[in-house]
Amino acid sequence: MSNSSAAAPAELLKFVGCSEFRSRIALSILTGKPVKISSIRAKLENPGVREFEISYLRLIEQITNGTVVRISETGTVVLFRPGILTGGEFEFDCCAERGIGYYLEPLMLLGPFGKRSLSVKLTGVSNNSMDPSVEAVSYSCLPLLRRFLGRDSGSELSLERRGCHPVGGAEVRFQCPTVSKLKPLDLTQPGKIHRIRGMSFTCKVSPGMNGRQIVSAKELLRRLVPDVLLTADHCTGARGGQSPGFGVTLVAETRDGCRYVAECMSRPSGVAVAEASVPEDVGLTAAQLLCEEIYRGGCVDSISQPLALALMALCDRDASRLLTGPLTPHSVRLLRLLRQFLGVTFRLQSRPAGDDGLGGDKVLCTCVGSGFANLSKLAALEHLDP
Amino acid sequence: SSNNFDSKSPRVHRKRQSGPKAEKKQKQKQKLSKSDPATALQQRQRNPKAFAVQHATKTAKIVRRTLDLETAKHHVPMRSREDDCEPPPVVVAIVGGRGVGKSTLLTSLVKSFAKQKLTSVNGPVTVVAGKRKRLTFIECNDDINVMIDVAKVADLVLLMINAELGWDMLLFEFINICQTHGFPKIIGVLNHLEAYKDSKALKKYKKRLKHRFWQEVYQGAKLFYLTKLMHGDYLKNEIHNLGRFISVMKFRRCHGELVILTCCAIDLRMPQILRSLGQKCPEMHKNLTRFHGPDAISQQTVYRWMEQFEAGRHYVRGAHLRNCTEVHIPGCGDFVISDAARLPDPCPLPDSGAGGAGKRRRSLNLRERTIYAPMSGVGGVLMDRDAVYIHTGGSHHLAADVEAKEAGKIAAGLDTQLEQAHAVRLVSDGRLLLAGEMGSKTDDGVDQQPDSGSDFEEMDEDESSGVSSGSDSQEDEDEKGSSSDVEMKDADQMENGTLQKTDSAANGTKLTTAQDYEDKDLGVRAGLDRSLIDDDDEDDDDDDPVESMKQRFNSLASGWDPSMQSAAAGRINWHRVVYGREGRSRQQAAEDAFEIGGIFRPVTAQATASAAGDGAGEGGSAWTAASATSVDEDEQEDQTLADCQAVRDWSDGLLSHLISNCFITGAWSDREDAGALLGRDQRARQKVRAAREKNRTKKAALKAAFDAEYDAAKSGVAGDSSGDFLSSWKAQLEEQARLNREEFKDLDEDTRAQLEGFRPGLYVRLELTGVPCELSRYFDPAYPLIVGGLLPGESSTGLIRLRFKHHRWYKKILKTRDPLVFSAGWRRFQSMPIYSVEEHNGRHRYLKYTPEHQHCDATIFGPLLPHNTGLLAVQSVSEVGQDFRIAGLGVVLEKDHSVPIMKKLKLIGEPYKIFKKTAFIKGMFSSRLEATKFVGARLQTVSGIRGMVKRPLAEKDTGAVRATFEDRILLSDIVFCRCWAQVEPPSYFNPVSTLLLNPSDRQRWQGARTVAEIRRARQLDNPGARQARLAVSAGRTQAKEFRSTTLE
Repeated sequence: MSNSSAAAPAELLKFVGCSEFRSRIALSILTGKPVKISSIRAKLENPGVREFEISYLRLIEQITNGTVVRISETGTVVLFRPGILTGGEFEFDCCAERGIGYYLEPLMLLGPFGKRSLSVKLTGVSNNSMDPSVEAVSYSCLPLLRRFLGRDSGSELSLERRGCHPVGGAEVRFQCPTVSKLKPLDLTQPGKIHRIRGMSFTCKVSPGMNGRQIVSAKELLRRLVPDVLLTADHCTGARGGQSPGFGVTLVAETRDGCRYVAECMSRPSGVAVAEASVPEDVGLTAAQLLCEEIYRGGCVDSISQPLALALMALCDRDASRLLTGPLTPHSVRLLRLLRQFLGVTFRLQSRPAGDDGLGGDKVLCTCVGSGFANLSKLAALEHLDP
Repeated sequence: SSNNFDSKSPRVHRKRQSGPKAEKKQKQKQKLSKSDPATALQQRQRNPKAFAVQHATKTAKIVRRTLDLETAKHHVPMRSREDDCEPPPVVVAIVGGRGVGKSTLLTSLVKSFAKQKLTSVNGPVTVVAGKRKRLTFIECNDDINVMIDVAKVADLVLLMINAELGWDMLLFEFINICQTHGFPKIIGVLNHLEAYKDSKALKKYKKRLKHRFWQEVYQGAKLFYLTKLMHGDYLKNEIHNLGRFISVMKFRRCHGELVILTCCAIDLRMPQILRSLGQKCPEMHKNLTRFHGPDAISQQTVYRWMEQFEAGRHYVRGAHLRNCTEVHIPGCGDFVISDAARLPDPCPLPDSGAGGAGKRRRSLNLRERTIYAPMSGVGGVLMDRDAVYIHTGGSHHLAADVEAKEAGKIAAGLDTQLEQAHAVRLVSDGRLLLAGEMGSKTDDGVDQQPDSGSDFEEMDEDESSGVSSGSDSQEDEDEKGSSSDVEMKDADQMENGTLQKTDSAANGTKLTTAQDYEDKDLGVRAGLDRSLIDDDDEDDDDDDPVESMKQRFNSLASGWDPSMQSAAAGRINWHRVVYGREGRSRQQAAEDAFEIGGIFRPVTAQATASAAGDGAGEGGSAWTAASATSVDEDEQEDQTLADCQAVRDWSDGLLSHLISNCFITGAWSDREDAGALLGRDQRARQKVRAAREKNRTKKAALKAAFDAEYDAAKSGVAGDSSGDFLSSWKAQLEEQARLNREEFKDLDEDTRAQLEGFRPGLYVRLELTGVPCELSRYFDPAYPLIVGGLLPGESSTGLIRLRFKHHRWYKKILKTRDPLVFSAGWRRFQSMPIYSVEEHNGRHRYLKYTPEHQHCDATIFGPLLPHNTGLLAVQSVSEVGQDFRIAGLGVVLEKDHSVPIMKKLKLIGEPYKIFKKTAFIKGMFSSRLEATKFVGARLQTVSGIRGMVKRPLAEKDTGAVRATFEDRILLSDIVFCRCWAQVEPPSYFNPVSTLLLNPSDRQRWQGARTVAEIRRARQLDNPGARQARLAVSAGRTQAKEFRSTTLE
């Protein structure tokens, strides 16, 4: 008598391979569609999901209720049935194979849509060469997230202890309020860069490294804009984590509030002496990467580009516009996922570079949001949430 | 007398009305009012006390009142997405009991609007009511399912009240449903008034009914009176007044959600197969358990029998309709839109067409009063897969030439479609070049106007021939498709429907149109893959056609966008990179589907991969390194920043010119550069000086106006800030609306539909997959078929906690776990609520029954809903009686997968051995293991002696425990342990699928029954009562042995 299709959970989405693991899981939670990922590193000598991915799934289990994860014996197949996003306050120890930045990105996507506001203390590796550092995320992604949330209060990312790559020991606190709907974005004018700020850090190495890094980075940056200010953060004892390392994070700020972030850090301890990093090189590379980022241009940098695109697709049914530099491979794959999960197709218009000294080719991304609403939000506590 | 004197009020001073004193006062008054603000300020400074607040409380009260009055006028700014485009018809529902005269009213209204008589009313009827207004009338019968569905979609409700019978319970029910699901506008219509002969009695009666109506809707709600019937119709002027009232009414639409009210349902598959499969289906339905747990996915596959299904066609309203969105059909289930296509509007607005736009007129002419009622026998209506053909010739009201014009209108609609679809673009992101614009847009002295025009005309001719001979063009397309594929390989930037410049060294510039006609939905299958210039094909007058075309291309390109030419070489088609080549994959999918009779569709896992591969292969230079093959694409580690491009060496300063202008130190564009702006100012200043004098007077007027406005705002004290907030809010919404409107305006309809979906107000045709065949077999136009959009995530299930209240008009009390039919969002479903109440310590205590006059919590298993969604519950959708049917109302508080509802549980045991303050207790726990869990638990005897479980007894596995008490207990004492057990809400959820039933059975839908109903049906007794009765009759009531205490 009854067609049960309304009762049956949404159809299983199938994926192959390990790419975009985080986004697939995150979008699955948001849309409530179960996901099956197969052939994860099936052809490698060491097949299956890695420890950092399992750690990510554990984090997801912490912020949700009712999530079911099945991992096959070989680890090459993951079946994920999403639960309800609860948010809340907790601590989580991230796997040291990847940086905390790896975990922060999906948290920023999920945080606004929880039942309660999210307040999480993450421990692990704050700086490595693979993932954006916590500072880079807080410089680049957090202002963007605030734009979508429509308010400045409530979302915070603070680095309480630093911890470099092999062992870690970092402590990061991330807070995100909940919203019913995101505000659409209209960012097409990046504006002119008026200053460059930055932070040079040293953990368990000589504080003199800071000065050397700063000098070499400034040498290049001063030629571009006079207002360059780099601060030094020398971390000792518990604040410095458990591994030695040093690096620079640079941020170029435009008058219209857009930011370009680039960073570079030393190679991990334990490499051969010949390969060990020199602070001057680290500083210079960071500065060069910043130039590259400025060349790519647009209103968001490549770290926050995927987040911006995903949040645009999750907006109310309004048009959002964003001018970015060329799409990163991560963004491209994410755009495909957004279409699969939310049915949102972006209009991507290339804006080729002229010889006007404004950097390289740009892309104007436009989309109409999917009308996503926070389904797990609590009605009774609405007035208590700031 | 003194008393008398006291009670007398003192004589009031009487002002002089005339005479010198009065004149003096008058003069003073005039002087004051005329005096400018400066003197007023002086006065204020001279005598500040006179202007000070004299009575703080009183002033506060006045201020508060002013604010109250001011803010009462404010409305939360709400921007309907329907405002951005042509508004869809307003849905007017006619509601009333059986035989009240709904159909008569509908036909009368339709007759007054469309000047046509409907022979039978069946399904929605759409008429044009004004220059910018269309109305869709639907009739609502007394089935509560229909009432619920109609209340969700109606913008205006005509509530018909039979004056002879008075208020029907059905009307109260309907108003209650409306209150839960967003209140539409309600107009009462009172008829059957001829029964009252006495005019005074009638007046009184009308007044009484009106006040009752006001109490339900709001004070002053409009109630219309239809005095009598004349020749089977209501009086003409009464209907005219009602129609006039409706057509000028303004609606505050609350639909944030997509909704389509369809008017037909057609199966698109072979009917025999459908029938044979459909006959199997009901058995499957029955065999399947309706308890949906985590293994419900397997059930989904069972219902994949029916593939294509057309859910009908009607206007999109509420929000944009996207392909592949999830929708819910109330009374049927959840589906995904497999295909949506725009159709020419059968009932267009008079102002929408090209002809009507410029004209100004007061009223509609007869031709514009279109009616669209596919089920109601208006003339001859023909529907096929791709279009609706309306014959209005059958109606005696219209002359024969009108028919021809009607046909012409539809054809004209098709023409405009074609024109838009055949528009070309020079570069993928460029503007559309419409055929009409083409000739006029050439420039630079190269006189190409005649031949460019002729070229495109020729194109149009070919297309129209393609339309008329469908099969021919089909073949054409096939062979051309193969040729175009070859071309597409080397054309990097090619997109569907774009005009493309391909550089080939051999023959200079070659222009190619690659119109890949995917647009089967338009009924146009005309392939237009041809080169505009083929050396043998070209019969142009020019001596060198290639050269002229080249010139033309250049001029066109420069005419459109000067920046394009220089930059065209380095462009990346990001759409292609990201989404792959769309047309091809769709075609592939279509072929795959076609292979096996269309019923079984092989899973194409490679579909996405191949699309991805396409993109990867064709990307720009930055891309080739990162994604060489599609296999690598899947195995890319999940990293935010991959090394997607090599770092250039910026340190030597050679490259710094590339980014030099990104900084404030670099060059600014003319609009921003201070120097340029100053220069412009200088020039402007000359002009301004001349115009200054003229402006001065203007400015003064403006200033005065501003001052007045500012003062007015200021006078509201704190009101000014809220006013600003409100206006800025409104401005923000307006800005967003503008962006929504403008952003996709330059695209053709197909691309637009793909990017933003179909706008509200468009007439579309939907195709759904996986729909049970019963829906179309038992399709009855009297039951509205609604397609409602779902938010992402709304189709998943979980536990929902509601704030719930038993309706005070409902006679029965509601019991936990008794199934109720809920209506929430678009859905109607049966579920088993567990009632609970939140206690002060935060515990949710289980309740067996709903409290009578207060709210409680109800937890149900069902599809997730946004918080604050209103719900209503009915116990049965099948019963029709005199009683009020709505059992309760609620609102969604929380969604989760587990809710800690605790039920109070008293474990009872009895002592069997007592040593001083220690006792051995048996019968409380069932096993030693269970007893172990309760070590430390608090105990109590009936007499109030408190104790504690110490440890389970080892000798027997009976669950006996040793416990200590604060005093010696007696052997006759009953010991109990108070604890809380968690209650799991049953995961039962059953959509009410009335649309799948035979229309004659629809009012007899039967879901799960309550325990009491089952007992009644099977003639079983209440087991508890029976046991007690048996015990009494058998004399087995175990008399408690009473040990008398001996006094010492």
